[in-house]
Amino acid sequence: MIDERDGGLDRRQTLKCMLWAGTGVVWTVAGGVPSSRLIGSAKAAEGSFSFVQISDSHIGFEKPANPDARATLSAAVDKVLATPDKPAFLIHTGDISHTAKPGEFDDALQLIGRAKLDVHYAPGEHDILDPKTRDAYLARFGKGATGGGWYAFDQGGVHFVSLNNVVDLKKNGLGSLGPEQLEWLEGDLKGRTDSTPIVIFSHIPLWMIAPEWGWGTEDSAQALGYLSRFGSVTVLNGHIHQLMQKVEGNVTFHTARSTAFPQPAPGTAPAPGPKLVPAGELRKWLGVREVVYSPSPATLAVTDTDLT
Amino acid sequence: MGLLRLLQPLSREAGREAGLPPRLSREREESSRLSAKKPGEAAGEGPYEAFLRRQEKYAAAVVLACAISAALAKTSWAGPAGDAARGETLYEACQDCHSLDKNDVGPRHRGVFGRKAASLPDYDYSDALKSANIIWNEETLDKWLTDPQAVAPGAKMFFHLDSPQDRADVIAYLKERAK
Repeated sequence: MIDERDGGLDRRQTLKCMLWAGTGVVWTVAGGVPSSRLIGSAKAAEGSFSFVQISDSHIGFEKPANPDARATLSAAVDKVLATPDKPAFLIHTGDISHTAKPGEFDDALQLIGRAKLDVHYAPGEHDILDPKTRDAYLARFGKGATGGGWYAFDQGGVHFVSLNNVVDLKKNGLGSLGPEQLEWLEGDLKGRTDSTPIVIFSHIPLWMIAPEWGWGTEDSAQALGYLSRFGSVTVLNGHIHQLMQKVEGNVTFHTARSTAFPQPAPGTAPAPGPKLVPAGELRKWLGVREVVYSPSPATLAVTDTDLT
Repeated sequence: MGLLRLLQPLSREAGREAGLPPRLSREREESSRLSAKKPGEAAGEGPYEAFLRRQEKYAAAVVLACAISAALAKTSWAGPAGDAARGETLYEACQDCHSLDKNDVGPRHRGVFGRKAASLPDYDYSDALKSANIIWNEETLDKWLTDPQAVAPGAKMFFHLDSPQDRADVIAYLKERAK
């Protein structure tokens, strides 16, 4: 049973805090099909495990859309700590820092470290700006990674793959995996049974959400081709700072909220970027995010319509 | 203010302020009316009135010349007029990578209008922008914001604004409020 007042927060305060923090999706794997729910309501079934996805913490961002990204990441970690069934690990789907400064990376590690869980990272384009910051990123977050920072691991019968699609950006900033990584992915998946549940995570979405905003990965189709024979494939991304979902055959795509600031939905603003939410409208705006959990056809319908 | 004054017919007081011939006395004016008319003087018009009429024509010509000059000066930029206030709102999106006073993922923007591209000594620009040889003005910023990769292939920036009005507004903001 959850102590709703644990840490001095009652349920309403926690909800408010979560809405602001914009994160905290718990993924529970049961029968090879991951499902998500709000942290605090997760209860893994017997024999299953859960993990937590956080994304786009942008440590170092201190502009009007969120003057203190450290505080909101900290609030996100509080939610992880409040998870009733301890997650097996965390994944962070990139943009850990805002400008890839060593101090930002270190602050992020310290804040996320409070969760006392293994963390598996994928880099965002704010983490790798050039060869120098790529090396700094890999030194801190790339343990066990090969090449440009991609790797795989297994947990409870599920095969996890972390990809780097933020180097060599394409038109409008689209992500790309590149031939070396694609070759590695093909080899990594070879020999695995079709029934192995696969979870792929990377920063930029592996599905074309809004190519005019660079919200997609140019060569993702090739990667998805390698995955087509598997019965259960879940793709988890960040980058767009909002929740979206899509099911395509055996593949379920999900994007995550940021812990730092929201971005507009495609088609609702001239360009992507930090969205300033007036204090008076914060709940209303964040309510859009909440819709994902308590489905709001308007929000999801608009997004899905743009992409299909 | 100067232009407005020229648009108004010159009063005699204004004429004096401007160093024109002093106002003639009523007697002189009356005697002038009785004297023979010189070329350019209308019937019932004294030399001072004629002088004023010539000055008004001159002023009108000056106004026209100024307008033509201003129009010629703008011929290199034919885009929409920008709204700096709206541009400030749009600039929120730019803040994913930029600030006015601090280098971020991109360079700081204060004073960018009129500045040579890639000229801040404390920002690590791409080689593409370093060799682009651009001065940031309405025209170059409009091109840059339309498609930075078309201006300098290999530049760090991919952000773009598709609407000419959006671009003009952001440029107006940078020009007028980010000095």
